[in-house]
Amino acid sequence: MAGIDSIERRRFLKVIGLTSSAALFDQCSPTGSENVIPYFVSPDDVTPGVGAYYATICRQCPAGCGMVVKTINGRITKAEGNPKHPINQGRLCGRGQAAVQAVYNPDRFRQPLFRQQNGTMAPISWPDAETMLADKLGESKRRGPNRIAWIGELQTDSLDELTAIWLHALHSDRRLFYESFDYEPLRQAGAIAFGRAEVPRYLFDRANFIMSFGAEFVETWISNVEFTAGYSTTRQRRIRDASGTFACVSPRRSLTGLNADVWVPARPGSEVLVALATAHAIVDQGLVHPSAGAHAGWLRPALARFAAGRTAALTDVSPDSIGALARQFTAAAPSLAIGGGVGGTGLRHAASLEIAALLLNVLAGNVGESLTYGAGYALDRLATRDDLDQLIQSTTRGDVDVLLVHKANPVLTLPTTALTSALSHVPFVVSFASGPDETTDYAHLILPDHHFLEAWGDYTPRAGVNGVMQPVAERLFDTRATGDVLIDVANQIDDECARACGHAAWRDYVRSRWLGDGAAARGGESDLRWSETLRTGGRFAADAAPAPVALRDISSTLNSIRPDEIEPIDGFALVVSPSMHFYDGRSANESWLQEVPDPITSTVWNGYVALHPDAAGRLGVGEGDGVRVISPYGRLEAAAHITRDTRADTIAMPLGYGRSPSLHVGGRRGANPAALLPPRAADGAHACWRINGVRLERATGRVLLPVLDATMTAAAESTRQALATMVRPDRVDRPEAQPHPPVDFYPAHSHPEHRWGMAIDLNACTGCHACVVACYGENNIAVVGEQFCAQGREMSWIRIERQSHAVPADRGLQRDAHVFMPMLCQQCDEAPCESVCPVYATYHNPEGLNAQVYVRCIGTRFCSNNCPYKVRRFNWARYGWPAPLGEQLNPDVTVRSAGVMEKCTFCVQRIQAGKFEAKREGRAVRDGDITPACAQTCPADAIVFGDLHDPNSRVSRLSGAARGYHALEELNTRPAITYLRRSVPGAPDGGD
Amino acid sequence: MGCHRYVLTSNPEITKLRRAWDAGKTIEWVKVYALPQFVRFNHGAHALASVSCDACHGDVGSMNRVVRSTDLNMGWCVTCHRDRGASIDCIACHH
Repeated sequence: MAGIDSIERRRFLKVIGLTSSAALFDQCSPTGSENVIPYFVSPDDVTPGVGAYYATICRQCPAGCGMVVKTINGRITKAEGNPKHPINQGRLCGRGQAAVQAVYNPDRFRQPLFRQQNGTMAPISWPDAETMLADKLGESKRRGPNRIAWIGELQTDSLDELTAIWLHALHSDRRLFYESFDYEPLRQAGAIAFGRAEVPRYLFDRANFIMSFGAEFVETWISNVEFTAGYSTTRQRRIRDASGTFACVSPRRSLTGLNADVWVPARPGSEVLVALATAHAIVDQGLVHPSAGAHAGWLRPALARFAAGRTAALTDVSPDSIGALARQFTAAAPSLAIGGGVGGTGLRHAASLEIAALLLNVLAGNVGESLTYGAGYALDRLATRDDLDQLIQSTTRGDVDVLLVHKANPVLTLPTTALTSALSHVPFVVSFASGPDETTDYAHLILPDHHFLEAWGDYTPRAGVNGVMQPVAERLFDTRATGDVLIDVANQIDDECARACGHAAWRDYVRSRWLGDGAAARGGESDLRWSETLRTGGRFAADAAPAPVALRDISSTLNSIRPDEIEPIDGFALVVSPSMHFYDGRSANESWLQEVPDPITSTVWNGYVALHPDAAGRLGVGEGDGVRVISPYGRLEAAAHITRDTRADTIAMPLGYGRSPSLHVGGRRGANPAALLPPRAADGAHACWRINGVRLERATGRVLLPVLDATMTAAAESTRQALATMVRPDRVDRPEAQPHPPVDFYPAHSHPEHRWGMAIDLNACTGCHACVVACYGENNIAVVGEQFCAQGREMSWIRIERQSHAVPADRGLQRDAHVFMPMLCQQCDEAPCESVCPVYATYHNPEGLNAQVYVRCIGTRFCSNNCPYKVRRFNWARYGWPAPLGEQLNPDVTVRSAGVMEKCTFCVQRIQAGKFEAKREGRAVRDGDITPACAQTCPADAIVFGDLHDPNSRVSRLSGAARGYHALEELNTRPAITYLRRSVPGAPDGGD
Repeated sequence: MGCHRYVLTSNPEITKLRRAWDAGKTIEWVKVYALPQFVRFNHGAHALASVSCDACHGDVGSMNRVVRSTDLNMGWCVTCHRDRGASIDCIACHH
């Protein structure tokens, strides 16, 4: 990774780097002429055609993962995790992978805009825009204190400091960091239980058994990449344990819930009673950890009301189940209990549920082991709903003249007309958004900030993890760093502001804050330190010792929970859940994320209401039928998706749909379920993502809701159940007899040098789809849109098959297993596709790949027809990339044209690069040198690639594991991919 | 602009070059060796295998105006690969 010091050296041409002015596509002979435009002055750290890598921080969500971004010729082509970053250790989720699409999003603002008299937006120059802002701010400052307000994305370090100084100089302290998911119940619970109003640190890898009340930790909750890795570590460590790793108590299974070994479908709103009944069982059966023995005295009477026998009628969870959970939870110490997450935050008892989960952790002795306080999460600084309400009220009273909105979009997820009417009351709303959203509709002046991949900055998601952000490419449009705008404007307002903010350029402000010396300090040791910091991606300290905490007497809180206050369902309970792909909806305009199937439902391009078959039957609706959802707070229409992942009295809707029509990809799709929610909880000042008393009606018409997995159902219904398989924990190490001794007609292939292979561990895979998004980015896979998807013409090279297996219930606990199986080209030794290609476009290469030569393919589709795995994709049309999205294309991979078959080749361009690098260094290829994009990003480390010829390679060792098998082994295709069975407690004898 | 401040300063082509430099503009060069979009070529791999520049580019030193010395078709590439024992796997260049 090269550090970049001054952006001037990298001042690229208007066309961003070395490019060719003639169209390259369709050029079939080398006779055509084209022009090359070189750099006027060559930048030091760019070699044309060779990737340069820059470390920065992902700001797609507040988790703050480290990123290493690959650029070729000054264009951003691929994002990967930064291996040195403690949060994600080299891995990224699908949203992080899609950050490169956000940079090249066609909807981005090209320049500053202001609202004209007639209400439309018109371009304005940066100097004029800044003068306009300075005038408004100066005027407001003279009118009195606190008349200027800031709502922004969560910031730490430099921009946090600058905005605080800047607002202070403007005599205002109205500054809120807004996030849709603010973890307020969790912070409240920490305050009540331990006197610490903060988000604790969850150490999944140290826990032996996880009990969750709905938190979406694989998907979006707090830090999903870090948590997925930790959860996967635990799963692998406990693979031989018959009690399982994870129990999920929730009326609806999110993707996280689908990974659970045990699903406890408690009545919506009663999770707190299940948690307290479990706590009661632990105390009652004398299972309390010695460290919590002192609490037994006051706990016993306080918990008596929640005995499982008393609450079973309210929770639908039997005392037997509660007893089993209590024993499992305490036997596996340290275990880990997690509260309701976002989708579990209901109208009542949200904070109580978090307190109950913390209590369970105390009783099992987990506090200080798998759950610690004193982590110093940036999330602790998020605005509470009380803060927001205060701002909304003073705005409505006319106390705010200028409202500055920095990369926050409260209108999208704050379901209240109070907010929108407050925004209409502000005389001057300024937005720093880099593209249109629901909140920019209210802006009078738009001063587009850079995308975070083009910007200087820093972010510390938790104490000790100080990440630094650097521009990985020159800015694409006429945008400006908000830091620079603030400093410039301060210097125009008055001396006080100018003195406070100084005159440094934003880049120097960040640098000098990091180095602790003056902005002017240059050269020598200071430069070296700075480039070392940029190369590493920040400064990462070892974990600080956890803060000692002791449980307070919470009996008054427990006494205040009245079981008879559990809300009646009255119709349906609606769960609004974060989306794996869109988070709270912010990533909805990135087309990869629309086209990559929803991990839970396999649907694409549209939102849905998930409802149980029984409910669907009562209403008379089928898959994809329009349904009207009516809550006390609003109504909307959406497509029905029928699933057994929810209770019959519960429906679920993901966030991310119903976005503003100004978004060309994500706009006008489905409906925004936030409109159905109450503005805040009934028993506390926090957000509420659930509502009871929801009615459903059959609406007229059908909605186009492509379900990608359905194509597979039709093609191979009979083989589906056999594809993703499982094994009982006590049989993990017992090899199975080969069912079919291989008989070959043709002589075996020789692989003289390498034999590339892959091992995919189904016990680790959580079905998060990060690999699929990474594959889109690496391999220039076309986005075909909803119509083609509905016709089964999607282009994705990896398909995650979700397969369900019936497992007998145990003491009332549901154990049905869901296995996620990444299905990609198996690179068969005896490949059925190869023998039917009439033009030798697909063939077995000497390293064991089923190569696909696009330029030779004539599109007979015989190969796809003959492939039993259905992993070949045909280009039915020429899809193209709306400008400037095409800038992201990987120049090392051919862009396929219409009429051509394509598929996975284990990222052959990376294999070539790895071999070349080894040759250049005069050595053999080492294990780990070459990593395909899917394996590189997998947060669960489920995918391992390497050379099967090397007996010591990771892939060789895994491929020989007893639980390894090949998909459709009986066909004797001899795949290079070995799947490792998922360990499922209670699985019937003999696996599936 | 090093040598050409002093060498051939009045040559019309060199004048173009100097004007572009003074104006801070880049020159769009006509590419003589263009490969189709579906071919991946790595100069480094060829340099590492000690393939001399003139094997593909001809004797540029004696050319008045650079011209393509071979037609760069696949047969020409493969012949050389075969002669030198380099990979003739299709996917080595077509991916």
